[in-house]
Amino acid sequence: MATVPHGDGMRETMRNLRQARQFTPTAVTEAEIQELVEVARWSGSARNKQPWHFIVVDDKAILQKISESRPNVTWVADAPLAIVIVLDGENTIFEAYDEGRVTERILLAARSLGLSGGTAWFHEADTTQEIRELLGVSESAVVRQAVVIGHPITHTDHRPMANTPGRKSAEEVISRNRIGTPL
Amino acid sequence: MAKREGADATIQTMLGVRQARLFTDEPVTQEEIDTLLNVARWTGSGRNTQPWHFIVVQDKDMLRRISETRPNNPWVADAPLAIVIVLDGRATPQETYDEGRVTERLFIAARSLGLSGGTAWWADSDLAPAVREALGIPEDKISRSAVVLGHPITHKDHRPNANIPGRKPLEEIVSWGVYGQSERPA
Repeated sequence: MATVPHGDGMRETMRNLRQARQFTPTAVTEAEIQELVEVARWSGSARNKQPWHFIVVDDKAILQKISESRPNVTWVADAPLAIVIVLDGENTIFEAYDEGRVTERILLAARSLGLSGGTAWFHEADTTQEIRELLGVSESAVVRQAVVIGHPITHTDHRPMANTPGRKSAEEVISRNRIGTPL
Repeated sequence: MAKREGADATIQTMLGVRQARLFTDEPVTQEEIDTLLNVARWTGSGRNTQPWHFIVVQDKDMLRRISETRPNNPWVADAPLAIVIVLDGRATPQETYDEGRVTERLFIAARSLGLSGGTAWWADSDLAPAVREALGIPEDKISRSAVVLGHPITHKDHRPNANIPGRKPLEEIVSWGVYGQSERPA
């Protein structure tokens, strides 16, 4: 199988993917949304179950409600778009894994379109029930996260409890055949 | 921020990712492995905890052990490479989600290099402890999946209980604003 065109640029995009949490007021266009959901739709999943549903949210009231769910996600109020991921709620492990897979694709597709995004988890919050009702999500489904997207102002984490940037060294996270054996 | 050069190619690549479980004898080069690992290492994770360790497995005996874990995994024995994901075991489902994120990146990066693969999963296998011991994984860690890669012969699922291919239509899986609103309000 041949390598793909622009493969180097693509891997560079992956290498440089960062979360953004502050956005300009510019809307995400209809065409961009269509590309994002198409990439999401074609994500692989365990046994090809596709255990998901995506709610495209640009309603300020809903974004506001999500932003109030946890101290770490106040930034969502000023974002132009959120794609809320709804899971079938049939298999905890596989669906969490599939949710990660599809999230990564949406973030990468956004980045390649000149957008950026961040993930907002609201599942720990008392407001989750209200969010669920606003979104019309049934009791049996799992809903706890949105991929929030817009035109980034910065990729610096502006929150008081900012994550530490950067990554562990290759030596620390990679072994050959047996843990502790260097590559 | 500008649309990236090759954005359409990037999206096409992502749309073109398919699982493969039958591979040619051609090995994955060291340079390709390094590229894949670099992409894996830079994956985002919950609170940037990077709750993972990657074991690069090319040893035929180790691949065979993984292939024996479940009836769905015999194809792993004939693959040239498996990247076993080891998780810190501190947070569920967050680490499972991060495992999914890094797995997806590996598949996309592999596709861009002309490689393909599949996930081997052995969480519920009786042989999991033996695999864990062979890989030297400490008791407190979680390890149950590998991203298995090579040069694909086919993307058809050749297994007796093959997955159904294709995807649900957009209308079925996308809502606008509220669950069930299948058309975008004007």
